[in-house]
Amino acid sequence: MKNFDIEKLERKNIYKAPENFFGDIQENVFDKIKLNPKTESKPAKIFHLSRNYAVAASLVLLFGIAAFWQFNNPDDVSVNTFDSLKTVKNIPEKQPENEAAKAYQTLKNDIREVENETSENVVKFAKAEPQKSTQKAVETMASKAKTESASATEVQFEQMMKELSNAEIADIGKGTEQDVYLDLYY
Amino acid sequence: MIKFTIQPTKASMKSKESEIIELMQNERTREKGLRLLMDAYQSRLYWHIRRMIVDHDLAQDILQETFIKVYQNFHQFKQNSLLYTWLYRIATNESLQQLQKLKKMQKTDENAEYYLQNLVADNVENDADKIQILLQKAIQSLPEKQKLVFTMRYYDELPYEELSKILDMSVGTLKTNYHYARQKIEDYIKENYEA
Repeated sequence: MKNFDIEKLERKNIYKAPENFFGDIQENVFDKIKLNPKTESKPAKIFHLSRNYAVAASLVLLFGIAAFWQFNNPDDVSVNTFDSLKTVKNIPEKQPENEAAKAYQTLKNDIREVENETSENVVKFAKAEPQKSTQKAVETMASKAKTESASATEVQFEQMMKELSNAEIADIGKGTEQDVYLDLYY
Repeated sequence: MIKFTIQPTKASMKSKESEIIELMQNERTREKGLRLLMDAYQSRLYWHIRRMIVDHDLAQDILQETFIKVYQNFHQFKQNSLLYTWLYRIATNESLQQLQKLKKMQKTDENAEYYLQNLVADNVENDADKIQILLQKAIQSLPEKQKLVFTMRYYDELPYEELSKILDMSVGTLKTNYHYARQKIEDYIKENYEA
């Protein structure tokens, strides 16, 4: 056995298998499959998000959270620390979108309308009833209303009010609405 | 008398594989596909397992388990390789798992090898050549990797490229393993053969 070469040896199968083994094994396999009908577990789909989409998605998420937080905490300005959040905070000041800003804008408009209507009513009242006792005061008040000095206007306004009777004040007051918010600003 | 054996050509094998794959992919025809698959590959796979495990009953269990796994996980076959490559891979993994269990039971690798060599003597045909029995015992004395490479190359005559896909080894590693396995077997037979 000195020059033994395995490649020259005949490739024989020396094991034995039972007769009809291969026919039986097929039936065994089908029996087992029917006994354990394991449902197919399909592999989960994997989405590959590109880097650009990931950045865009994270930005949208960031601004979404910031906007949501802003709308839920409109008065809490001091908490803002990030510039981006400050930017978001500043937007409603220019374009009032939330309730508080709208209310503030409405209040401003109401005050302006009241001021205008007051001065117009005073002029109309003076033209309609040129009484001697009130004519002078009304003319003074109308002219003074146009001046820019606040103190002079106040003095004149008080003078006029003193000279007006209660009925006259009530007439003037008909054209205006009582603004409850005014109390808050005194 | 000259015996002619009809070897399946590569083209006919591929067309058969395509037919099996098509049947297996359809829920309604899956069982028919499995039957065709078993008809085509059960013999090759059984002998591959048997040479690894030696014991018939264990080889039978492993073969059954292989076909059940093929049936249940056919959607995982991506057709990147040939169907029989995938089948060999499953059968090989199942056999290796069984060998691991056997080693745990026998405590050491040496004990497991000794156990398998004794199994050879119990499982061979009565009129088997002495040198053939020695060859089988020599195969059982090899480390797992060399045993796999040697049996699949020597008996199944699988090309190294296909072996590479089945065993996840480079062609160079496979050739080295085959060379060492062959040398060890020849040495074993020379040592143990008594004229």
